[in-house]
Amino acid sequence: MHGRLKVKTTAEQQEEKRKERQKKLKIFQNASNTAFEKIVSKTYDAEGMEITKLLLAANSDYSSMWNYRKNAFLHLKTLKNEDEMKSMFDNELQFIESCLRNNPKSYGCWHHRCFVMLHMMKPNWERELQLCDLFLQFDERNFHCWDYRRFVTNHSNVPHEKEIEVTNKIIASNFSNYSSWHYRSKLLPQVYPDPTDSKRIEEKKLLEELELVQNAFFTDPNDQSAWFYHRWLLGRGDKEQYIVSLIVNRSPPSVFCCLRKPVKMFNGTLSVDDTTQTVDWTSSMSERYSHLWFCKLEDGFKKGQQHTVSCEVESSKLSCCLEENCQKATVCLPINREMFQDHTSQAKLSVLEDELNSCNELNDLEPGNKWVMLTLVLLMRAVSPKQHSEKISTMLDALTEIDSQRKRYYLDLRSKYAIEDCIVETNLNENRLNISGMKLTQICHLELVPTLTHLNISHNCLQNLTVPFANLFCLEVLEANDNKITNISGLKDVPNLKSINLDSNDISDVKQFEYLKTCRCLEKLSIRSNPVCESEKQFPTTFLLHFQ
Amino acid sequence: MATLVKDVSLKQEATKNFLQQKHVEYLSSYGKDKNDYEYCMTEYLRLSGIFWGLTALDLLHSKNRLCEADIVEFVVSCQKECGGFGPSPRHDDSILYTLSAIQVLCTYDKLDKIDVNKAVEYIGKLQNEDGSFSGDKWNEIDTRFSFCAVASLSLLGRLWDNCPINHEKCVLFILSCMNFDGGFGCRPCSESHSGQIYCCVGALAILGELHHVDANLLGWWLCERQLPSGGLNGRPEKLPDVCYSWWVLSTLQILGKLNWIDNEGLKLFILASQDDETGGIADRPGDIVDPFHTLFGIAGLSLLGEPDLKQVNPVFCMSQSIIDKLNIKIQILPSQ
Repeated sequence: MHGRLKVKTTAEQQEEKRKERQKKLKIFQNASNTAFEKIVSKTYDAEGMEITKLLLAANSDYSSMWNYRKNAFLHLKTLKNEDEMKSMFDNELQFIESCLRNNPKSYGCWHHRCFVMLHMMKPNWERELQLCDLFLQFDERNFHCWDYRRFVTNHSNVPHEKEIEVTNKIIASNFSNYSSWHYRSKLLPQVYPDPTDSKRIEEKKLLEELELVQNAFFTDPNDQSAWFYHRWLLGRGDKEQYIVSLIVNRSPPSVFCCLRKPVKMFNGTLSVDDTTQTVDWTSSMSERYSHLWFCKLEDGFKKGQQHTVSCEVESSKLSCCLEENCQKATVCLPINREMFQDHTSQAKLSVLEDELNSCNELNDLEPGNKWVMLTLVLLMRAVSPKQHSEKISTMLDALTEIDSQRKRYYLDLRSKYAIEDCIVETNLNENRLNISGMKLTQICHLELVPTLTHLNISHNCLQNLTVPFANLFCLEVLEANDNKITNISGLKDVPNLKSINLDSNDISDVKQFEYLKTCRCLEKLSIRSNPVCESEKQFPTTFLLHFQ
Repeated sequence: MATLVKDVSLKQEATKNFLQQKHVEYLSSYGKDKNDYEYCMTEYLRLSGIFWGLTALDLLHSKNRLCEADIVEFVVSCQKECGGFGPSPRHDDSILYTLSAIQVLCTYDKLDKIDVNKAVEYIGKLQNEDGSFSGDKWNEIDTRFSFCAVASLSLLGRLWDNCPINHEKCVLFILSCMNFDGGFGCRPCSESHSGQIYCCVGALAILGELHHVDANLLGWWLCERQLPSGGLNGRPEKLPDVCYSWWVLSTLQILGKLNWIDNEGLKLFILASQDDETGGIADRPGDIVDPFHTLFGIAGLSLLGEPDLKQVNPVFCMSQSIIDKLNIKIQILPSQ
């Protein structure tokens, strides 16, 4: 079904081919009929084995025939002695290998080989490893073969270090390496695990690996696999759970807890003045997994008294002071860079700075290589995001030209960085965030700033406000004017939203405003200079009345 | 700057129009000649072939071109005593063809013609201790089968009520197949591959567990599948193939990153892969067409907003109207 070129043939040639095929087909169908008879009658004889062999040689994806042979072996195992079975299995392995030479990517073939190996009394795993070496020489990217190799090494206890050495050899021969780098990404953490994340590599080895991959991409800057692998080495593991903020209401007494990672159920420990409270946390969002959790306090707060409210989950604890004369208190975890990227040790920083210099040189030698440029962005971001922020933006803008197919990817990445930089610089306890005029094409990280009362996203390039603004539980004022917004489905269920400015956008469908009906506190909505305004008839009176 | 990228080039005179009617003719006449060589040789995947042809015709607003009664009868005849389905009546059962059977019957709203409980039981028995799914009793494990199980149960309305599988373990197994690049492979430690990624992300979308996926990282890996010709490949350093217009594109849609590729470029690649003589779509321009690539090319075009096509659901690869009728809600990340 893949890679068959349509070749023009004469009517004569076509007729010739048709006749030949009909002949082949007849043989195939007769054989199939016989085979199915044997399958139904569970007759495991020499004829059955011969016929299924023929069929599988013609089509190694003919699963029912592999299954017949499996059944046959299981049956014969009860009748034949060990030597006879060994001989049969060895022949089967030879047969499978011949099928594989014609169809190295047949799921059925490889699985049948696993079956045979698992049923042999004395399987020769070493020979299988050699088979893998052979097939990987034919095609280093054959994932079936790699998976089979892992099956073999698992069953024969080949040490990971040996396999790492195999990947070293393949990578050194400079040819289609992605599968090898991938294998390393699995092997290295098993042999040299990062104590904080078992899926990552411990630092000393990580730095060596950075050097190795750097050599690879400097030798051949067009070898994609090295750049992908490098991005992983630069990256980070699983994020920890954090309590991002607490919002406490005096009356009725309740607490909102906002988490960095969404959960299905929240079991955070809540204390008031160091006394643990028994509470029932319920999700404040309609999705199955939620960042936002709410509980009522049975005992309530004493009037005119100050209270300390704390919430704890895993290794995160956040405390909030509800002052004597206050009805409400909010506390926000200060968001620093570590929320967005790993803390970098001195040793790692040093290696990355060297890499940054080398990549800059490479960029001068080979300008316009998008891999070099993107990696420069990632390195600058890892080394010193604040110092390099302008260079990063410029580089990403250049990438939208050089690699225009992925323009939107670069613009979104640029937006993400701009938002992160702004969040880090903002004192979130003032509950206001201004990310206007930043050429943003996307909004992200709203779940990290749930105590905002004022959000300014105006004068950007936003087209769709589809992320859930309901995460902004305290939001009262949203300035979204001067964008390219057509869709505001994300603005539903924002419980405290009082005022929205959507002037100078691209909303043309009046139905969009239906979403705002769930914002029960909405008092003010401005939608001047939107296409929808052109037709006055579009505004039914009921719609206008709702917002009065 | 010259880069040695494995790719194809589109000819100037490549077809730029969507040959709607030609595809309808190609698909409705496929399989009419029961002695056709290709047709006979693909008996071992017949049920899936029927799904591809029927769904493509449905997206083309032309499913009435096939005989519903014949097809339903055929599907029913493929269900075995164990509850699972084989690709054709004589062939052994597998979870792959069980899904195809269910998809076809949902398209005709004829689920009541099969033993649903037995099918559900069959699927449940295929889940292993570690949450993985076997394809059949011979125990091949692959995340494709996880998708088949979850999608089947969802279509049968047995994923949430009276469900025979353990969701949590199912998810844990899928996640154990996640790789350094954010993608997924067949089994733990298998290399990322667009087809497997579609299966894993699709299953997670049905189960509402997409927050485990690093959408930014995986979205980037997926958008890097686009080659200068506009076509998409399945993994790095491979040739573009129209079927990846589906596996990659639908995953991008689920992750809310469809705009991370050049939509127009992909559209031109799919259109250039049409055969303007016979109708149908091939894996790449100039190659022989088949129903498999015809469906995925059409489904890809639907995702890209082709107005004459029905809207396709990115998880099930069936028309959205059918999924709506079944009241199935899947998780899709917001697209900005």
